[in-house]
Amino acid sequence: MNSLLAAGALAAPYIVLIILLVLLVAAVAAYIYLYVRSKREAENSAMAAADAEEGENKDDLHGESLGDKVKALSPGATVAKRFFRSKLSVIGLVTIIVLFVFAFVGPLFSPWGESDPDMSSTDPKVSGNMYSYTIVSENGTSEEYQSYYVSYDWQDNMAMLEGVSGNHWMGTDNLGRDVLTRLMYGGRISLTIGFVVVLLETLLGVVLGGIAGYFGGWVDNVLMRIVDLLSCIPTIPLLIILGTALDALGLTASIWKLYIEMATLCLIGWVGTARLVRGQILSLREQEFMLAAKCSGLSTRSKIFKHLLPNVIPQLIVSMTMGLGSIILMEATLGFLGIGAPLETATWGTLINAASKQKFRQFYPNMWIGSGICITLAILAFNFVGDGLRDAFDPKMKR
Amino acid sequence: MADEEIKTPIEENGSDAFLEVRNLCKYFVVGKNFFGRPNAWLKAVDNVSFKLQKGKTLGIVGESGCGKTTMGRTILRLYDVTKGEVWFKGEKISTLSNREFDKRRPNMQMIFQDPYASLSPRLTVGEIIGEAARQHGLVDKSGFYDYVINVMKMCGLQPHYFERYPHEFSGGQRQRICIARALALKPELVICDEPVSALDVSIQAQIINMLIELRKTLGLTYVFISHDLSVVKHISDEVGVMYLGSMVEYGSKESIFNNTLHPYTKALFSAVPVPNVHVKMNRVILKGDIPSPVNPPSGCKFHTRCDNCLEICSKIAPEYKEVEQGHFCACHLYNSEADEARLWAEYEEEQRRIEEEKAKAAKGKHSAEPVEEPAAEPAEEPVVQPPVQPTESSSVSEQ
Amino acid sequence: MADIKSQDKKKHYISRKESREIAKNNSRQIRNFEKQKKRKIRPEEYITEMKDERNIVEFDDLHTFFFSDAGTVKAVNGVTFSVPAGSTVGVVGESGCGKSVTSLSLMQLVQAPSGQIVSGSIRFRADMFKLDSHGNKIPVYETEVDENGNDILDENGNKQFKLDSRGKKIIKKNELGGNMYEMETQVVDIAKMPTEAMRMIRGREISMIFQEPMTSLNPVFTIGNQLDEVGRLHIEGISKEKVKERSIEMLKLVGIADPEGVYKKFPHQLSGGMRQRVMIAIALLCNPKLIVADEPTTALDVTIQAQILDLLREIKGKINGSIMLITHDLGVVAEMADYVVVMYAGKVIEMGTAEDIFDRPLHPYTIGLQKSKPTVDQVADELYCIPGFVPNPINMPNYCYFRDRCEMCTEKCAGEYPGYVQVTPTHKVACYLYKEGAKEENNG
Repeated sequence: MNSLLAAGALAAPYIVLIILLVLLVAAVAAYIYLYVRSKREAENSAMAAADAEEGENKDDLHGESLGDKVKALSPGATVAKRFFRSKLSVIGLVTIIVLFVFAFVGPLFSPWGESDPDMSSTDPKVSGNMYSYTIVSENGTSEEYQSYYVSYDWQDNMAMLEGVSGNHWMGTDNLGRDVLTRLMYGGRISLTIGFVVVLLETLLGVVLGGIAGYFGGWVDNVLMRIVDLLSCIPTIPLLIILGTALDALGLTASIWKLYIEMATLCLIGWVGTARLVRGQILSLREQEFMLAAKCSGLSTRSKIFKHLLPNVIPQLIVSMTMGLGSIILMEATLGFLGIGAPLETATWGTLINAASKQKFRQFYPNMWIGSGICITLAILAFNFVGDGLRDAFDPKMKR
Repeated sequence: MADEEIKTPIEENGSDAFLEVRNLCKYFVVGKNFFGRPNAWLKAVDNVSFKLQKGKTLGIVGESGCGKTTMGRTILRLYDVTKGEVWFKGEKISTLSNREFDKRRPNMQMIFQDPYASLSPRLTVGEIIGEAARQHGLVDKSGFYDYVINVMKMCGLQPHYFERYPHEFSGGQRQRICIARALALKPELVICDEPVSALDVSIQAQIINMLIELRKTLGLTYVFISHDLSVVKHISDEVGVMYLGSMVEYGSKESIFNNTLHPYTKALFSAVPVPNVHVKMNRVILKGDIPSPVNPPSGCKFHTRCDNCLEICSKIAPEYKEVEQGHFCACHLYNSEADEARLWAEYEEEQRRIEEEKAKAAKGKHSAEPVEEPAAEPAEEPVVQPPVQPTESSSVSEQ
Repeated sequence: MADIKSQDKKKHYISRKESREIAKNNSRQIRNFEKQKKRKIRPEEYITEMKDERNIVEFDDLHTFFFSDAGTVKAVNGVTFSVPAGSTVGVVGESGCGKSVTSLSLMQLVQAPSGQIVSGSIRFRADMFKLDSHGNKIPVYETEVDENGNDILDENGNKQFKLDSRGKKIIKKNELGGNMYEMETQVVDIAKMPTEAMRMIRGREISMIFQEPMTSLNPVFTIGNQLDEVGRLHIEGISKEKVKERSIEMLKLVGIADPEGVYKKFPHQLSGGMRQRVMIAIALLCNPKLIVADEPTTALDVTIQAQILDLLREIKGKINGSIMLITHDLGVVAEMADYVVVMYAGKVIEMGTAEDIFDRPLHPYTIGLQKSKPTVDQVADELYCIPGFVPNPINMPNYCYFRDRCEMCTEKCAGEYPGYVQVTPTHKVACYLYKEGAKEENNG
């Protein structure tokens, strides 16, 4: 059971990556399919249309002549254009890509593993008290022996710690593990866990917020009171308690501890998204195009999925992007407090945990400063991209 | 107040008109007491009745806040009916269940005022126009494209607009899309809610001409709501003038424009600027602002701005009655002496009753709730309840 | 013939290459203009002469462009007309014809950086403060006067100034209650003027009434507050009491029955018509020479519109200023304007007195516009309509912009854009149908 859990835990970031890849491939495939289909459809109707156009008068009254000469920006291009015009959002996007490459491709080039200690430098550095003793044999000869009393405490031992060197670009930690390699491996979990949490949060938020906004009345009332209640729960204390409880259940050394905590975060974190979606839907519901949809007698399903949700998606994407940053920060906080992932597993949070011990903080900044920089970069990057997207989607932003 | 039903013998009768509206009322709750009971209403539509024959066009004129838009939307059940009945093709549609009514929606369509807000921004033109037709089973998947293209051509849209998004079009083209969306459902009744007021003059003419032509070719019946008298005059067979939720004058176009009765209609007509420099107007400029419909003036709602105000006007609401054949008007200027005497008598009786109620209320002071309502309501009652139902003999239909 | 949809897409949407070119061009142009604005501009550069001394504003070949992602929008593309002092000029046109941008250019309120006045000039006769050698305003001091109002001179023939308790000279108050400075009338070119100097003109010499009375008042301040603010800003040295007095006087002037009450109210407590009256009061506060009214009645009901138009007419007589009335409603123009300017796609196509335009319209567009409006007194079976749509002013052709919608098109029209033809001394039109001085029969 435990080994199964462990295997699952190790595989989790890869699974997420694979899911992301599959989604990307699916999107590309869908685009190609739609493109081909529209082409075929167009071909089918080309005849009819051609007939029709021939039938039409050359100087069609309603045809725009001057207007048609003017080219417009396609909707996607408009958003992309506005996004790429902002330098900060481009910087953010590039940073995110670099961090992902660093985390997922970087370890392939590293000679060190995530938790292999570098033993090469251990032998002369054994610390302990030397003591000598003399053994007097039966024949009267006495031999003097020297011996060491070795006390070995993994957590406190500084023997394996190495500074920055050619072998270890960012040095090693107290267990002789290469910090740079651990930073790369740590990025895998820290970066991907955000996606999972945000996706789950958004899913919950959209469904519940959408229901509240669309149906209104008592449904809205009940859901919003639940939202109010959930937003009363303080996150950090809850997670500290949960962490302790999970320790007691024997999950101390398992990455599942982090996953369960993050799942809990989802359960209380959807309220923000739900509020956002509800607000948006409430205002969209009053728009004339919704009245028009009602007037044409469209089904509730198509009203929600075709008319309402697509109009919320821009705001959702923005809030998701911003959310990614905050999840990374939360993971780091948990790691720093020592209640997140087990310390053996590399995440940016567990790496920054080193800074919670005075001597590492003071004398060995190489152990934690890298993850600190990575966390800052990632959060800034996600926020820049989020800001850029918000401006890009906002039709009122004219610049 | 809202659940109070008007029970009249006419309710049991069917309707021989294409569209008949009887004593239609729509009150919005604008104030609630602490327990969530409504205690203030906005009488957006107050006791409006008319009949319309197939193929005719009824123009509704009035200023903002007069309830013309609300009336249109209430007829189509976009808002719930507070009181009164709507009959469509001999069927009472105001009491149908929502599900039943949705089946009849294709028959009754609406064109909205704002062509920018009434098109869902993230759907293509083809989808906007054809979606509802497909859902109502008017067209199957294979014929969808041709069906939509046909409708688009009818409305002067070029076939290659099918795949474009609404934001790429100018106001006039968007309004054509709106009209195409309504016509795609093959309606018999179209309620046009200020379809041209957001458009440029040269485009207005195009749209109006198109609406008139479509009326001819498709045999449509319009309820044409507008604040622009000249447009209404151009397109309508019958005209109704609304002020603060009530119909003040109603009749054939000729009778309304050539023999204007109500002082408000006269003022409205003279207020329209004429594009002719030599007609230096001797216009009736109404004093003051339009009163708030939440708190309308007592008696005749127009008496605060009326030049011909009589003593009776501020106290008693005028009856909506047939002044000449097919020409209705609600104004005390056209009261016979007998009528006036009767109204005064009724008014005094009403006053006496209110006094008595007050006296009673003063006695039983401890139960505030039941007292408040009868004291407040009867004061409004004469406004709501004059015998205004057009009987079969005095039908407002056009010969 | 293969697929119309994707072909249309290619034709309809801007390709990436084109888009890059547009962006490059835009940033270059915008950088140039912004640099121009930032450099220090000496007064000599923007002080000019009027062509005709009777005018208060002269637009001369004004070009205002917007450098947008889809290309350069030539919103105002060579506009020339003038506003004679004391008259009302109506600028008519459909949406997108550049009439609002013309007025915004006059106020230097074009949305920068994408919107820029590219060339041309806007000459405005302004009362500017006279400046001394240090660039300070020269105040006028109170002098001792005898009972006839003549200055009492001392033995050297100098004026005797009144002194306050601290022995300082007292600055004379002008009719608004503000400090009086020495003024001079100068003709300035607003298109070249620095923003700093423009601030002295905006609101004081030219004021604007906007379309939306609902949004052009700040909802968190009282009406009085907003009136007073404008007063204090533009009338230097005015006392608190004087400002309030002036504000209430203005509210009274615009026909508000209870000015003291309205003074204390917040915008949301007033109806649309009342708010527009307040906007007009704000515009009148500093005795402007020119009021720019941008669709002042479009958002209002017909009966309220009648009131406001009546008020504007009345006020014009009282304040001795000019009004530039921008509207799409021909009826409003006919009622208000002395001179009419008809704009189409960023150009003036016809201008003349109101009688010229309404009785003898010449340009096919003007004729069509008037015929396409249904009127209450006439009955027509079918409305005349101008075919097609108002063109989007990107990539405009070099022939007449109206040619594609015109029903009186001749062979000549394929040539370049027609120049102005002076049909009568007051009436100009840009159309090949007409010849200088002689008017043809063709005036539907």
